[in-house]
Amino acid sequence: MIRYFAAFLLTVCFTLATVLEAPFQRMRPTDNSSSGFLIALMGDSRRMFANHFFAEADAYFHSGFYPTIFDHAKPEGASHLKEGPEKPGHEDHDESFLGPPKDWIDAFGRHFYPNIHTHLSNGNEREILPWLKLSAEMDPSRIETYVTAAYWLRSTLNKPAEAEEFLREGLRANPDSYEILLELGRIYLYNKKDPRVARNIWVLARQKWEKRDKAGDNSDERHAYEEIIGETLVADRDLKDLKAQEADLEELIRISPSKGTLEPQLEDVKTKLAAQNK
Amino acid sequence: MNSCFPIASVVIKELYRRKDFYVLFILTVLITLLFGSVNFFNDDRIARYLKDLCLLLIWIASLVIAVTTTARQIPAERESRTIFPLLAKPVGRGELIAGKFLGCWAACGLSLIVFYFFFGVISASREHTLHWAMYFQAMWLHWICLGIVVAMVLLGSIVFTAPSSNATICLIVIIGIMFAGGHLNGIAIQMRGARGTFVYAIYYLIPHLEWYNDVRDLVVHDWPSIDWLIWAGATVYGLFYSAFLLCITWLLFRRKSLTL
Amino acid sequence: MNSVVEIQDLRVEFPNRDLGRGRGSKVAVDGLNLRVNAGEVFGFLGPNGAGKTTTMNVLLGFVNATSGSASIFGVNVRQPIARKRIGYLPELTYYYKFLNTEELLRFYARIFRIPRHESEQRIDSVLKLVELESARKRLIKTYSKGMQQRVGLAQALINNPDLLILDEPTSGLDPLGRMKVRQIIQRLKEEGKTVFFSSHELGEVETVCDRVAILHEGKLRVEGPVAALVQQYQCDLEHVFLKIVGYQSNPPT
Repeated sequence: MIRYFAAFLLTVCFTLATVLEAPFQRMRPTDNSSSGFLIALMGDSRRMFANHFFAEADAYFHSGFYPTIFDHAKPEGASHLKEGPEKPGHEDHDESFLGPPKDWIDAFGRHFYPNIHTHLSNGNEREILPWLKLSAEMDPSRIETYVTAAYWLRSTLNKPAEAEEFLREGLRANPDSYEILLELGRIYLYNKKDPRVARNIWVLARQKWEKRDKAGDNSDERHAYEEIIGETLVADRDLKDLKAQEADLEELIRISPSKGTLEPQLEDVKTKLAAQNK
Repeated sequence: MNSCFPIASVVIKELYRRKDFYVLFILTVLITLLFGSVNFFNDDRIARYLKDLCLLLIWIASLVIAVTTTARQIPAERESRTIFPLLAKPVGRGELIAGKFLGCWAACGLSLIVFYFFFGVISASREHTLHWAMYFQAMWLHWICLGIVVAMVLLGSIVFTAPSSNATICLIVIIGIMFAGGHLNGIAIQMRGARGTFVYAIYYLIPHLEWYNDVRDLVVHDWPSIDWLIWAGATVYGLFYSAFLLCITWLLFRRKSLTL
Repeated sequence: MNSVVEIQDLRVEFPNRDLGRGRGSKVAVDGLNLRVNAGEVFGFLGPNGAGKTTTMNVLLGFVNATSGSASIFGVNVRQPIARKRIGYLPELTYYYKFLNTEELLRFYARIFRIPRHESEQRIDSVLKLVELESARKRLIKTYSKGMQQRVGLAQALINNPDLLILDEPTSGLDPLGRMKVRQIIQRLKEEGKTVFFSSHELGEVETVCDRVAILHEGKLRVEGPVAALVQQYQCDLEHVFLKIVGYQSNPPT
């Protein structure tokens, strides 16, 4: 009797699997995102996990010195994952979120967890990468994840190929992201020494930014635009394209608050351009 | 007190003859190796996430072993009635409690040696170095923490009749302490008044298991070892707390009727 | 004659909270006076709920007496040392499943602090007595009920006790198992051990006991040598028991 019942259950399971397969396939996104399965499985909760994993990367960047949900303030310069090499004097007894010990238990307990503000260095930045990768898997629309990981991969870990691959993965999920294009261009300029490709990427980044600006989506992202033009200027210098440099500088002067340092540069380019035309 | 050791040896035998430990160890190994095999940006020197995961699994496994092994000791003796031939011999109830505690604690210690050996292998395979002092301190403090846990669950097994309810309640309390125990003072300060005083009293009363659990972060992020005086202080605190809980357990068990 | 067990004015009362129901308390044993002499087999009889197991539990220190006193070999039963020279077989016990008989007996021998070489000899001897030599390496969980009961007897004998307290030793056993237990009690008697046991099997009590006591509703109703009781009541022990507990048999109509 039990054998027949088991056979019946098996048949039901098989039938259900064949019936459910088609709707499941329809639920899967049509893009090439690797997180299709996760999206179907976890729904919107994956964004929460993505944020958590990104915070975990930040905690790793501080070697575990990181506030819990009970510590209301974040450490000074919260999430400065992309801050670059450690500034001198930054590694000191920073108790910004810990505050002074409240009692002897608190004071004694501080010996058992990281209580000094430090940043990873000397290639140890690699330790944050798994969390960033997981964060991207959970929420491919989180652009900051791709940019941060690529920054460390190309700048200190000497892995431009991996950085580019990751950024392109991010670009497939976020085709309109000028942030990813900005970082991708940097790989071509600083690591691959190919200013021409870098410039083309930044031109595209600029178009994407302008497109979003027209839609009124990124009024507070002026700084990114400055960076795009600034990097384009560097590429144009490498390409020795004075005309383009002039245009970049004029645009920079138009948008930048620090015109003082840019105007002499523009004058210099104009002089060189006039000499060239003679 | 000599009866404690035979009683403890039976508990240890129980641990290695049952499947619980093997299942948890194999699960820990499999999950760690599975995550270790994931390639992150072609960098095979990434170690900390793996150490973190492995230590987390070790903590979970050790807590499950400690809680489930201890929770069933006294109730199982009563249910199978083996407590009667045992206490009909020259064994005091205090000795039974001490023997059970020693057995469970030693069993946890043996499990930890196996788990931390695996952790050392994983860590050394990635980092090509072993931080002996830090690892020893972490394992030792983990064991001391499990001593408090075992004493707590043993007390629970006298208070609660069913091992399952005891295990569930103890696990919730232990995880709660590890998660929020160290922050109760901050919460108490915010509350003020009588409620604040009450929360502060709880803060002083609970065993601060979070100290021992927090050491994980020091191990994962390659911090230097803890000052040995502080380490000794945490050991003494843990031993005193375990002894205190065992005394309460004995006081309750001493008067408890075994027949009803 | 030396008395091994001495009970004086024993009263055991279970309070309401222990019973977990209703109001008031239950008197399990009331004013019990009993003496068991060295070398005799003493049968402790009574219907279910008469107070036999409670009395044994007091002797073993599991239950505290409300009033009165109990001693074994002249030592108050509250002292663990009183249990140094006794062996106890509880009713229906399921010994540690993950041990084999040899390990179980070695564990109990260690509790008595019997030296290793001596304990090995004792283990061999008790396993031979309870006829479990061939199964000594098998895990206890694979044993039949009868074998488990014999393991119980073996553990009760591991310290070569002078007094054996057996709580319904033949309960749940088949006729062959019962006969074997009876034979073991006879052999212990021949060795000069004192045996204090409770049973519902009156035929077996009649066969092996020197003296019996019958308890009913917590009170001692009768005590004396089996032969004397049979002569006094002019019937076999079973009918003596039934008369004492007040059972009236209705003749078939």
